[in-house]
Amino acid sequence: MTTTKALATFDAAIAVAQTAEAAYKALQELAQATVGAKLFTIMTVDMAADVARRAYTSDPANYPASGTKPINYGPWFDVVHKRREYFVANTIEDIAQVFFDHELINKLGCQSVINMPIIIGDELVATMNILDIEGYYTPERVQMVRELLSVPAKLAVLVAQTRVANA
Amino acid sequence: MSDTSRDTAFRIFEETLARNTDPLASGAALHDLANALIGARLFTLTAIEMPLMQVRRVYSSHPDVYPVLGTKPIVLDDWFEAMRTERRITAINSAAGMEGQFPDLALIRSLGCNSSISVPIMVGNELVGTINALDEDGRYGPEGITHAAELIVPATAVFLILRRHFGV
Repeated sequence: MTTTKALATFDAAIAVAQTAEAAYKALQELAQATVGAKLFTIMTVDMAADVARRAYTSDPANYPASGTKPINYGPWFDVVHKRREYFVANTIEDIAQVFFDHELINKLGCQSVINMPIIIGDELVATMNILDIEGYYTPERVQMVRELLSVPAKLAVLVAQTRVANA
Repeated sequence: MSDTSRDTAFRIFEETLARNTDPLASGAALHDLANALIGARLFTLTAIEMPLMQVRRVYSSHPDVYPVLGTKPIVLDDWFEAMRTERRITAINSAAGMEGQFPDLALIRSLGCNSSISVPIMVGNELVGTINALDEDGRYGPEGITHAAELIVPATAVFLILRRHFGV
Protein backbone atom coordinates (compact mmCIF):
# COMPACT_ATOMS: atom_id res chain seq x y z
CA MET A 1 0.00 0.00 0.00
CA THR A 2 1.37 3.44 -0.86
CA THR A 3 1.74 6.08 1.80
CA THR A 4 -0.90 8.28 0.15
CA LYS A 5 -3.38 5.39 0.09
CA ALA A 6 -2.62 4.52 3.73
CA LEU A 7 -3.20 8.14 4.79
CA ALA A 8 -6.46 8.28 2.80
CA THR A 9 -7.59 5.08 4.54
CA PHE A 10 -6.69 6.66 7.89
CA ASP A 11 -8.61 9.88 7.26
CA ALA A 12 -11.64 7.95 5.99
CA ALA A 13 -11.60 5.86 9.19
CA ILE A 14 -11.35 8.99 11.37
CA ALA A 15 -14.25 10.56 9.47
CA VAL A 16 -16.53 7.78 10.73
CA ALA A 17 -14.82 6.95 14.06
CA GLN A 18 -17.40 6.92 16.86
CA THR A 19 -15.13 5.70 19.66
CA ALA A 20 -11.60 6.12 21.03
CA GLU A 21 -11.02 2.46 20.10
CA ALA A 22 -11.89 3.17 16.45
CA ALA A 23 -9.55 6.19 16.32
CA TYR A 24 -6.64 4.23 17.78
CA LYS A 25 -7.33 1.26 15.52
CA ALA A 26 -7.10 3.60 12.51
CA LEU A 27 -3.71 4.81 13.77
CA GLN A 28 -2.58 1.20 14.30
CA GLU A 29 -3.50 0.31 10.73
CA LEU A 30 -1.68 3.37 9.40
CA ALA A 31 1.43 2.44 11.41
CA GLN A 32 1.32 -1.15 10.20
CA ALA A 33 0.74 -0.17 6.55
CA THR A 34 3.70 2.21 6.55
CA VAL A 35 6.44 1.70 9.17
CA GLY A 36 5.38 -1.75 10.34
CA ALA A 37 4.57 -2.99 13.86
CA LYS A 38 3.87 -6.49 15.20
CA LEU A 39 2.52 -4.99 18.39
CA PHE A 40 0.97 -1.53 18.75
CA THR A 41 -0.19 0.17 21.94
CA ILE A 42 -1.25 3.61 23.18
CA MET A 43 -0.46 4.67 26.74
CA THR A 44 -2.29 7.71 27.98
CA VAL A 45 -0.73 9.73 30.76
CA ASP A 46 -2.20 11.79 33.56
CA MET A 47 0.75 13.62 35.10
CA ALA A 48 -1.37 15.38 37.72
CA ALA A 49 -2.61 12.03 39.07
CA ASP A 50 0.78 10.37 38.50
CA VAL A 51 -0.73 7.46 36.57
CA ALA A 52 -0.57 5.94 33.11
CA ARG A 53 -2.98 3.59 31.38
CA ARG A 54 -2.67 1.30 28.38
CA ALA A 55 -5.63 2.75 26.53
CA TYR A 56 -5.33 0.62 23.43
CA THR A 57 -3.60 -2.57 22.32
CA SER A 58 -3.42 -4.41 19.02
CA ASP A 59 -3.22 -7.72 20.92
CA PRO A 60 -5.91 -7.76 23.63
CA ALA A 61 -5.47 -11.51 24.25
CA ASN A 62 -1.75 -11.51 25.07
CA TYR A 63 -1.01 -7.87 25.82
CA PRO A 64 -4.26 -6.40 27.12
CA ALA A 65 -5.28 -2.83 27.83
CA SER A 66 -5.02 -1.97 31.51
CA GLY A 67 -6.40 0.13 34.27
CA THR A 68 -4.26 2.92 35.62
CA LYS A 69 -0.83 2.15 37.01
CA PRO A 70 1.94 4.29 38.49
CA ILE A 71 4.12 6.11 35.97
CA ASN A 72 7.33 4.21 35.10
CA TYR A 73 9.92 6.69 36.41
CA GLY A 74 13.55 6.11 35.50
CA PRO A 75 15.78 6.45 32.45
CA TRP A 76 12.90 5.69 30.04
CA PHE A 77 10.77 8.39 31.65
CA ASP A 78 13.63 10.87 31.34
CA VAL A 79 13.94 10.29 27.59
CA VAL A 80 10.26 10.19 26.66
CA HIS A 81 8.65 12.48 29.21
CA LYS A 82 11.30 14.91 30.37
CA ARG A 83 13.21 15.36 27.12
CA ARG A 84 10.18 14.47 24.96
CA GLU A 85 12.34 12.44 22.62
CA TYR A 86 11.61 9.14 20.94
CA PHE A 87 12.84 6.10 22.85
CA VAL A 88 14.29 3.56 20.42
CA ALA A 89 15.70 0.11 21.29
CA ASN A 90 16.63 -2.61 18.85
CA THR A 91 17.53 -5.55 21.10
CA ILE A 92 15.68 -7.35 23.89
CA GLU A 93 18.63 -6.59 26.20
CA ASP A 94 18.07 -2.86 25.75
CA ILE A 95 14.33 -3.31 26.25
CA ALA A 96 14.99 -5.32 29.45
CA GLN A 97 16.84 -2.35 30.92
CA VAL A 98 13.72 -0.18 30.94
CA PHE A 99 10.58 -2.37 30.76
CA PHE A 100 9.65 -4.76 33.56
CA ASP A 101 7.56 -6.92 31.18
CA HIS A 102 10.41 -7.60 28.74
CA GLU A 103 9.95 -11.38 29.01
CA LEU A 104 6.37 -11.15 27.78
CA ILE A 105 7.42 -8.75 25.02
CA ASN A 106 10.12 -11.21 23.93
CA LYS A 107 7.65 -14.11 24.03
CA LEU A 108 5.37 -12.17 21.68
CA GLY A 109 8.23 -12.08 19.16
CA CYS A 110 9.23 -8.46 19.77
CA GLN A 111 12.79 -7.31 20.44
CA SER A 112 12.69 -3.74 19.13
CA VAL A 113 10.59 -0.74 20.06
CA ILE A 114 9.83 2.92 19.33
CA ASN A 115 8.01 4.96 21.99
CA MET A 116 6.81 8.22 20.48
CA PRO A 117 5.61 10.98 22.81
CA ILE A 118 2.36 12.53 21.57
CA ILE A 119 2.42 16.21 22.49
CA ILE A 120 -0.37 18.73 22.00
CA GLY A 121 -0.22 22.33 23.24
CA ASP A 122 2.96 21.62 25.21
CA GLU A 123 1.33 18.75 27.08
CA LEU A 124 2.43 15.14 26.72
CA VAL A 125 -0.93 13.39 26.45
CA ALA A 126 0.07 9.87 25.40
CA THR A 127 2.77 7.68 23.93
CA MET A 128 2.45 5.57 20.81
CA ASN A 129 4.40 2.34 21.20
CA ILE A 130 5.32 0.12 18.28
CA LEU A 131 7.25 -3.13 18.63
CA ASP A 132 8.71 -5.56 16.12
CA ILE A 133 11.52 -8.08 15.54
CA GLU A 134 15.13 -7.46 16.60
CA GLY A 135 16.82 -4.61 14.77
CA TYR A 136 13.64 -3.52 13.00
CA TYR A 137 13.56 0.17 13.98
CA THR A 138 16.42 1.55 11.92
CA PRO A 139 17.09 5.30 11.73
CA GLU A 140 15.19 5.34 8.41
CA ARG A 141 12.10 3.83 10.05
CA VAL A 142 12.37 6.22 13.01
CA GLN A 143 12.40 9.07 10.49
CA MET A 144 9.31 7.58 8.80
CA VAL A 145 7.50 7.63 12.14
CA ARG A 146 8.36 11.31 12.56
CA GLU A 147 7.20 12.27 9.10
CA LEU A 148 4.16 10.04 8.70
CA LEU A 149 2.75 9.31 12.12
CA SER A 150 3.35 12.30 14.41
CA VAL A 151 0.39 14.36 13.13
CA PRO A 152 -2.04 11.42 12.72
CA ALA A 153 -1.17 10.35 16.30
CA LYS A 154 -2.20 13.78 17.64
CA LEU A 155 -5.43 13.52 15.68
CA ALA A 156 -6.20 10.03 17.03
CA VAL A 157 -5.73 11.24 20.63
CA LEU A 158 -7.87 14.36 20.00
CA VAL A 159 -10.66 12.19 18.56
CA ALA A 160 -10.35 9.76 21.48
CA GLN A 161 -10.55 12.64 23.99
CA THR A 162 -13.58 14.13 22.21
CA ARG A 163 -15.38 10.77 22.01
CA VAL A 164 -14.73 10.04 25.68
CA ALA A 165 -15.93 13.54 26.65
CA ASN A 166 -19.13 13.08 24.65
CA ALA A 167 -19.79 9.53 25.81
CA MET B 1 6.56 21.91 -4.72
CA SER B 2 9.60 19.81 -3.82
CA ASP B 3 9.44 16.94 -1.36
CA THR B 4 11.84 18.84 0.89
CA SER B 5 9.72 21.98 1.19
CA ARG B 6 6.62 19.80 1.69
CA ASP B 7 8.34 17.85 4.49
CA THR B 8 9.54 21.10 6.05
CA ALA B 9 6.02 22.55 5.99
CA PHE B 10 4.61 19.44 7.71
CA ARG B 11 7.40 19.47 10.30
CA ILE B 12 6.75 23.12 11.18
CA PHE B 13 3.02 22.38 11.46
CA GLU B 14 3.67 19.41 13.77
CA GLU B 15 6.01 21.43 15.98
CA THR B 16 3.51 24.27 16.34
CA LEU B 17 0.77 21.87 17.45
CA ALA B 18 3.16 20.20 19.87
CA ARG B 19 4.66 23.31 21.45
CA ASN B 20 2.33 26.26 21.11
CA THR B 21 -0.10 26.52 24.01
CA ASP B 22 -2.35 29.03 22.18
CA PRO B 23 -5.15 27.09 20.40
CA LEU B 24 -5.46 29.92 17.85
CA ALA B 25 -1.89 29.25 16.71
CA SER B 26 -3.09 25.91 15.32
CA GLY B 27 -5.31 27.74 12.80
CA ALA B 28 -2.41 29.92 11.68
CA ALA B 29 -0.20 26.83 11.40
CA LEU B 30 -2.76 25.14 9.16
CA HIS B 31 -2.91 28.29 7.03
CA ASP B 32 0.89 28.20 6.61
CA LEU B 33 0.70 24.51 5.66
CA ALA B 34 -2.08 25.21 3.13
CA ASN B 35 -0.04 28.04 1.67
CA ALA B 36 2.87 25.66 1.15
CA LEU B 37 0.78 22.81 -0.30
CA ILE B 38 -1.86 24.53 -2.46
CA GLY B 39 -1.59 28.31 -2.04
CA ALA B 40 -4.12 30.13 0.15
CA ARG B 41 -4.17 33.93 -0.05
CA LEU B 42 -7.52 34.06 1.72
CA PHE B 43 -8.01 31.26 4.22
CA THR B 44 -10.81 30.63 6.68
CA LEU B 45 -11.94 27.71 8.83
CA THR B 46 -15.65 27.31 9.42
CA ALA B 47 -16.85 25.12 12.27
CA ILE B 48 -20.18 23.45 11.67
CA GLU B 49 -22.60 22.69 14.47
CA MET B 50 -25.05 20.24 12.95
CA PRO B 51 -27.19 19.83 16.09
CA LEU B 52 -27.73 23.63 16.22
CA MET B 53 -27.81 23.95 12.41
CA GLN B 54 -25.33 26.80 12.48
CA VAL B 55 -21.82 27.62 11.31
CA ARG B 56 -19.13 29.70 12.97
CA ARG B 57 -15.80 31.01 11.63
CA VAL B 58 -12.96 29.87 13.92
CA TYR B 59 -9.96 31.10 11.90
CA SER B 60 -9.52 33.87 9.37
CA SER B 61 -6.51 35.16 7.45
CA HIS B 62 -8.39 38.47 7.02
CA PRO B 63 -10.19 39.14 10.32
CA ASP B 64 -10.84 42.78 9.35
CA VAL B 65 -13.22 41.73 6.55
CA TYR B 66 -13.95 38.10 7.55
CA PRO B 67 -14.05 38.23 11.35
CA VAL B 68 -13.81 35.22 13.64
CA LEU B 69 -16.86 34.40 15.77
CA GLY B 70 -20.49 35.14 15.21
CA THR B 71 -22.77 32.37 13.97
CA LYS B 72 -24.82 31.96 10.78
CA PRO B 73 -27.50 29.41 9.96
CA ILE B 74 -26.45 26.45 7.80
CA VAL B 75 -27.61 26.71 4.20
CA LEU B 76 -28.64 23.20 3.19
CA ASP B 77 -27.89 23.37 -0.52
CA ASP B 78 -26.54 20.71 -2.92
CA TRP B 79 -22.97 21.78 -2.18
CA PHE B 80 -23.44 21.31 1.56
CA GLU B 81 -25.14 17.95 1.00
CA ALA B 82 -22.26 16.72 -1.21
CA MET B 83 -19.79 17.64 1.54
CA ARG B 84 -21.83 16.03 4.28
CA THR B 85 -22.58 12.76 2.53
CA GLU B 86 -19.62 12.25 0.15
CA ARG B 87 -16.88 14.35 1.79
CA ARG B 88 -16.59 16.00 -1.62
CA ILE B 89 -13.84 18.58 -2.17
CA THR B 90 -15.16 21.42 -4.34
CA ALA B 91 -12.85 23.59 -6.45
CA ILE B 92 -13.62 26.51 -8.75
CA ASN B 93 -10.60 27.37 -10.81
CA SER B 94 -11.48 30.53 -12.74
CA ALA B 95 -12.95 34.00 -12.35
CA ALA B 96 -15.78 33.04 -14.72
CA GLY B 97 -16.60 29.94 -12.63
CA MET B 98 -16.85 32.05 -9.47
CA GLU B 99 -19.65 34.19 -10.97
CA GLY B 100 -22.92 33.76 -9.13
CA GLN B 101 -21.43 31.41 -6.50
CA PHE B 102 -20.47 33.92 -3.81
CA PRO B 103 -22.59 36.73 -2.33
CA ASP B 104 -19.33 38.51 -1.44
CA LEU B 105 -17.67 38.09 -4.84
CA ALA B 106 -16.69 41.78 -5.15
CA LEU B 107 -14.84 41.64 -1.85
CA ILE B 108 -13.19 38.33 -2.80
CA ARG B 109 -11.98 39.84 -6.09
CA SER B 110 -10.74 42.98 -4.36
CA LEU B 111 -8.46 40.67 -2.35
CA GLY B 112 -7.01 39.25 -5.58
CA CYS B 113 -8.85 35.92 -5.45
CA ASN B 114 -10.37 34.27 -8.52
CA SER B 115 -10.32 30.61 -7.57
CA SER B 116 -11.61 28.74 -4.53
CA ILE B 117 -11.48 25.35 -2.87
CA SER B 118 -13.54 23.90 -0.01
CA VAL B 119 -12.54 20.79 1.90
CA PRO B 120 -15.07 19.16 4.26
CA ILE B 121 -13.78 17.77 7.55
CA MET B 122 -15.63 14.92 9.26
CA VAL B 123 -15.25 13.11 12.56
CA GLY B 124 -17.49 10.34 13.84
CA ASN B 125 -19.73 10.56 10.77
CA GLU B 126 -20.48 14.21 11.41
CA LEU B 127 -19.36 17.21 9.40
CA VAL B 128 -17.37 19.32 11.88
CA GLY B 129 -16.05 22.02 9.58
CA THR B 130 -14.82 23.20 6.22
CA ILE B 131 -11.49 24.54 5.03
CA ASN B 132 -12.06 27.46 2.67
CA ALA B 133 -9.12 28.66 0.62
CA LEU B 134 -9.10 31.25 -2.16
CA ASP B 135 -6.29 32.38 -4.38
CA GLU B 136 -5.43 33.74 -7.81
CA ASP B 137 -7.02 32.53 -11.04
CA GLY B 138 -6.10 28.94 -11.96
CA ARG B 139 -4.65 27.93 -8.58
CA TYR B 140 -6.89 24.96 -7.83
CA GLY B 141 -6.64 22.55 -10.75
CA PRO B 142 -6.58 18.73 -10.42
CA GLU B 143 -3.16 18.83 -8.76
CA GLY B 144 -4.41 21.36 -6.23
CA ILE B 145 -7.29 19.05 -5.31
CA THR B 146 -4.86 16.15 -4.79
CA HIS B 147 -2.67 18.24 -2.51
CA ALA B 148 -5.71 19.64 -0.69
CA ALA B 149 -6.53 16.07 0.41
CA GLU B 150 -3.22 16.07 2.31
CA LEU B 151 -4.65 18.84 4.48
CA ILE B 152 -7.48 16.67 5.82
CA VAL B 153 -5.62 14.92 8.65
CA PRO B 154 -3.86 18.10 9.91
CA ALA B 155 -7.10 20.10 9.56
CA THR B 156 -9.14 17.55 11.50
CA ALA B 157 -6.72 17.90 14.43
CA VAL B 158 -6.93 21.72 14.18
CA PHE B 159 -10.73 21.69 14.12
CA LEU B 160 -10.85 19.53 17.25
CA ILE B 161 -8.47 21.95 19.01
CA LEU B 162 -10.36 25.08 17.89
CA ARG B 163 -13.80 23.62 18.57
CA ARG B 164 -12.71 22.76 22.10
CA HIS B 165 -11.32 26.29 22.55
CA PHE B 166 -14.47 28.01 21.28
CA GLY B 167 -16.80 25.56 23.02
CA VAL B 168 -18.35 24.50 19.72
